[in-house]
Parts: sequence; structure tokens; C-alpha cells
Amino acid sequence: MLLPKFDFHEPTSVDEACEILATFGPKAKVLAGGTDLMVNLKKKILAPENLVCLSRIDSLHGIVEEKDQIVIGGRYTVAELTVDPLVEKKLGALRSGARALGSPLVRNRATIAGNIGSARPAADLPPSLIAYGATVILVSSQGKREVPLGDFFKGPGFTELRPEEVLTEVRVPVPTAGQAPATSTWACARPRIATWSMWPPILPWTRRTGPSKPHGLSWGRWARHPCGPAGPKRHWLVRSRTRRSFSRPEKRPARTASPLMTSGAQPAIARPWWGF
Amino acid sequence: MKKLIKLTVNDREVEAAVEPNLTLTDFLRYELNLTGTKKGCETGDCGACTVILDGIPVNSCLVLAVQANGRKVETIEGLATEEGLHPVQDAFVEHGAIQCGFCSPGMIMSAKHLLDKNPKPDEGEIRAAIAGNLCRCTGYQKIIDAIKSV
Repeated sequence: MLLPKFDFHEPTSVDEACEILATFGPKAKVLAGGTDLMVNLKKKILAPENLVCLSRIDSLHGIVEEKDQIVIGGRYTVAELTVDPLVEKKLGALRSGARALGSPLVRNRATIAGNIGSARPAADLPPSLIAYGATVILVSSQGKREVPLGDFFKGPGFTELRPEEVLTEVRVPVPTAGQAPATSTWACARPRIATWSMWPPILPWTRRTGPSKPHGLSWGRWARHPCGPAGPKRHWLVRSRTRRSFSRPEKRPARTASPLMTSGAQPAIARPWWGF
Repeated sequence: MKKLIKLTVNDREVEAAVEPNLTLTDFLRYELNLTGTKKGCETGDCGACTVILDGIPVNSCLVLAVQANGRKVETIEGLATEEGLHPVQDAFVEHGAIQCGFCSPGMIMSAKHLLDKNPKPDEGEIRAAIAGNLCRCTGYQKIIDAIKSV
């Protein structure tokens, strides 16, 4: 499989990358890990005239805890997420998603920004990140903006990201006491779905946990159930009052959540697969 | 427009002018004649093209040659020394962990990386480490036995 011809740019800073993107606009594509973009180039789905590779921008690589947020650089690889002690300790659901992504060889190249920015329906990281209430920082030569990940996706392959912007970091609020992240595959209920990378992480608030109410989402006995490919916008969010029995989601999460999930899914896509 | 790249392949400095759209697999195979690295699916699924880039195993079909500029690449050809085959290669021969042999270079590179990090992996760790390398002959058990024996 031959790659189409393109010019290759390797900026060493975010500013330089933004300048290049501002110059070429939609004729340029950002190359992060390449596990998705390279395949699309080979299959002739995309044919940009310019590729802007982020691999020499050191400031995009790293993870740091800042106050009540964990800031993950866009170039942080999925393999690094699976072994990072900070992720293991505080963002267990994200780690589960990362461990489920592709093969070890793909995880070694794939980046968090690429997994989000490509907006593939079966992406493994966004569901848990939406559950955590994560935001993404989009930088262009005009400035930077912060977008909640729940609003970032517009449809398969379509996002808030403009052609001249770079997704530089993902900010994840650290779960507080009383928040219980959990992930679940639908393998429990429908084995066929498991092959479809369905990851509905569940992040319920079992008690009123004080003032934290990130991005207007639920609290008290409300829960967030972002889900993988289950509708045209692919990451929908169900805000539903849960039963008391749901207060311990780590116990059979798929079973307790399934009625809520199915009622919120888009029937046109979800029902033939789920069989409900 | 061609770009000049300098990299280390199997401890040898290499300098070449390459088109930006040349993958690392094609660079190794067609420019350096290192045909041990195989071209399988070319979409990052099969792992036949596995090489170790800066100490990390990757699908070289998903890496551009220009991205390897200034980096260190290890391929299957770099494992054997004058003293003989690498212990992982010896173990594959010993256990008959090869059928058609097409997946073997990638499988051995993944196994070598695992054993460098963890000299005594259990079966689960071995299976996880070679999960990105597909064997269409389905000879996995002997491959796992071979890696265990190293």
C-alpha cells in the first residue's frame, strides 16, 4: 500500500506547529501517533498535502497533577497510560480503556490526542474521559480554548477541532471521595458487542459530595454513563437517577446500568446490535 | 521533496535521502535490503513488520522513515552475533516455533523486548506481549513454549 505524496513538517514547538497549520489550513493534517492517520492515508481515505508531525514537541509529552486536575500531554502514548502510576492510582477507568485499546504495538504508538482527535466510533479512551468530566485544550495561533470532551465530538470523524488547531492536552478532574469510577464491557450481556469495543464507564455519585459538580454534570444519586459507539454522535451521555442498588457500581455494573444505557441509545444503530 | 535522515540501524549509522511518504518498513526492506522485516497487512494489525524503535517495539508500517530520523532501530537482522543466534531465535528453532515463518521476525522482536524488560515472564505476560503479532498458521503454543524456555 503506497502512501500519497505529501510534504512533511516536524515542528519543535506548539507555536511553530500552529503557524504551519495556520498557513496550510485544511490542506494539512496533524500526525500524532499515526496508528489511525497512516491507515487512512494508505486506504486513500485522506490525502493531505502536508503532514505536521508532533513527535518532536517535547512539551506535549508528559503527565502532571495540578491542584485538582491531572493534565495529560497530547503526545502521551496509550502504552504509557497503562503503566503510569498516577493514572493507575487516580484514573482507573481511563487505565482500563487504555489497556483495551488495540494491540501492544499499537498502544506503543497511539497517543491520547490522536485517540480523541480522530473521533473514531470505537475509540477506547473518550468514554471514560467523558465520565471523569475531562476537557481538552485546543491551541491555534489565535489563542487557546478549553472544550469539555462531552461537547467535543460532533459525529464519527467530526469534532470541535478546527483545521488550524492542535489538541495539546487533556485535563481530567481528579475523582473526589464518594465518586466511584467503574468500567464495564457489554460482554456480560451481549458478547457480540464486546467485539465492537463497547466501553460504558460508569461514574456514579453515590452521595452528595460537596460542591464539586464538574461541567454541570450529575451529583447526588445521579450517574454519568458515557458510552462508546451507540449513536450518531457516538458518545452520548445519559443523566439518569439511579436506584439505590446502583450505589455500588463495582458490583455488576453492566447489569445495573443496562436499562439506563439502552433507553438512552439511538435505536437506529443500537438496537440491531443489542437486540433489545 | 526528499529529506535527509540519519539513524542507527542495528548499531550501524545510516544516512539516506528519502521521500516523506516512505514507510520505515519500505526503507528497511528496499533501501537497506533488510528484508527480515516483513510486510503483512500494512495497516498495523498483524505485527509482521515489528521493529524496536528507541527501545519500544512498533509496527514499522505505521512509522514514516523520516520519523525515525535521529532514532535507533533494531531489526531481526541485528539479533544474531558472530557467536551465533540470539537466545530467543535459538529457542524458536529448538521448539519448532516456526511454521511458515512469516510472523517469526516480528514475533521474535516482541519476545526479545519482553525478555529484556522481564527475564522470567509468566504465560499471561507472554501472551499479552505477543498479542500484536498474528500467526496465521496458529502455532502460538510452541511460540509461547519457546519464549518461556529462554
